[in-house]
Amino acid sequence: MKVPLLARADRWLVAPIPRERLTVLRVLVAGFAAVYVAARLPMFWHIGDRPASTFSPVGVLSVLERPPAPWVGRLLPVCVIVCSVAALTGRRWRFWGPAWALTLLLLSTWRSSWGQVIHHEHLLVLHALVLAASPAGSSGPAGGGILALRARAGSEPRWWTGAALGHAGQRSVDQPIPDEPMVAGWWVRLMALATVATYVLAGLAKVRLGGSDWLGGEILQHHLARNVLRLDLSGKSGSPLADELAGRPGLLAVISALVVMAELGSPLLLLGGTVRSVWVGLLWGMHVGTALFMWITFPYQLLLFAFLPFFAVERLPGLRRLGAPQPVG
Amino acid sequence: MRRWAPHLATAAFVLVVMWPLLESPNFQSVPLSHYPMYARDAGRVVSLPTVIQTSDGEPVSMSVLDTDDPLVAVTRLRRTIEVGGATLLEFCVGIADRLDGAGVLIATERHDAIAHLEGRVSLIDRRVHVQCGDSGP
Repeated sequence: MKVPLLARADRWLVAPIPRERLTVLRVLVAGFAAVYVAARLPMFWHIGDRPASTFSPVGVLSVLERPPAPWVGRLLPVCVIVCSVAALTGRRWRFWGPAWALTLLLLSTWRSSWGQVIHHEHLLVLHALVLAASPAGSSGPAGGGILALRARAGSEPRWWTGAALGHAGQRSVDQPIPDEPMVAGWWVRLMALATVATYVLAGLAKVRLGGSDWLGGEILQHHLARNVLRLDLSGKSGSPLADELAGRPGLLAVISALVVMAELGSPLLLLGGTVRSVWVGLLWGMHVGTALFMWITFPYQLLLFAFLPFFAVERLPGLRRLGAPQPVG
Repeated sequence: MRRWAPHLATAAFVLVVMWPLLESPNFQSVPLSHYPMYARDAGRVVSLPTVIQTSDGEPVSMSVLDTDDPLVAVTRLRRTIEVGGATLLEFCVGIADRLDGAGVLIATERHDAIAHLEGRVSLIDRRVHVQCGDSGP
């Protein structure tokens, strides 16, 4: 006999979703990656010109003792833009999906290998890696994702594949449109869990490193002041709003508590409905505050891309067209 | 097994992305990290590297450091100061060249960040690492 809780977990985890949702997620995330890298191309272009002695490799580049030739670093962002555009189309997904995610991982690791880890890119990379393995490509055999290679026509439905799951009329979930093609929803759940994990880790870091002092507001005040100073000493003015906030210890304490609560409570995003929407608002507010008071932007989070896996994005106004069936690549 | 497979696969994924919990809270890498930024108390006395134009004593814009991100600029400066020697001098000369040979000094300054925010004098001390351009080598 099935335990009700497990049955609910089963349903949440493996219930099929409309194919359009994965398609819209693929288009939006790959599109974001293309624009993000293209807009910063001059910066990415010159990273490899920095003195080799300042190279401090992380992640998959940790094996390198010295930086590769500068042209390698120049080629990388161009490859990411090309792969992102190819991934955006969804054609030949089994090739372009992994190519996109891996070049993006390499570029992000490359950028962070010069002494400053750029944390706001992590979630974009994690989402790309999950999407690359999923059946997010154009409809047809080539859109099945690398793990869907094992699904054969007419085989029994599998929880990780895009093939053989039938239509919404047979498997009802999220009140889909009748006869809408369905794919495995597990991948979108993984993307959602990746988002939650990043916030929980950030919240736990504050608890582990800052402890109860974080809730008092003083640590936030010091970071605000430090940020203004850093901006001023870099020839750029800090936010005037920071001056106002830093002089209000009571408000700083409230904001600090809200930040930790929002991050540690991010698993509530998985509940869906109003709770999810409220929590998205809280986390988004945190990023808006960081942008307004510290002039530090987390583009993927600030533009709400981080929260897409929690919504039926294929039903959002203007996005349904993105999920329309495309020619098989 | 079939029933548990998605749960096990999901648990494995969550374990991987939460792996930094098993590391030091300062752990940061790509694409996994504990996200320690802003978690620790930086204190009100802050030690920051800076590039100053000697003619007016004003800090040089970070645009000459090929970035619009002050965090990246500071980290890059700090790393270069740590390396020191010819690398630091070459870096200084490179900035001076971009400023048409103007005199430039690279220093580490200690400031009271709260005093700075309140508009009071914040500089506690300054340690010059290298000087170049008009007034240097």
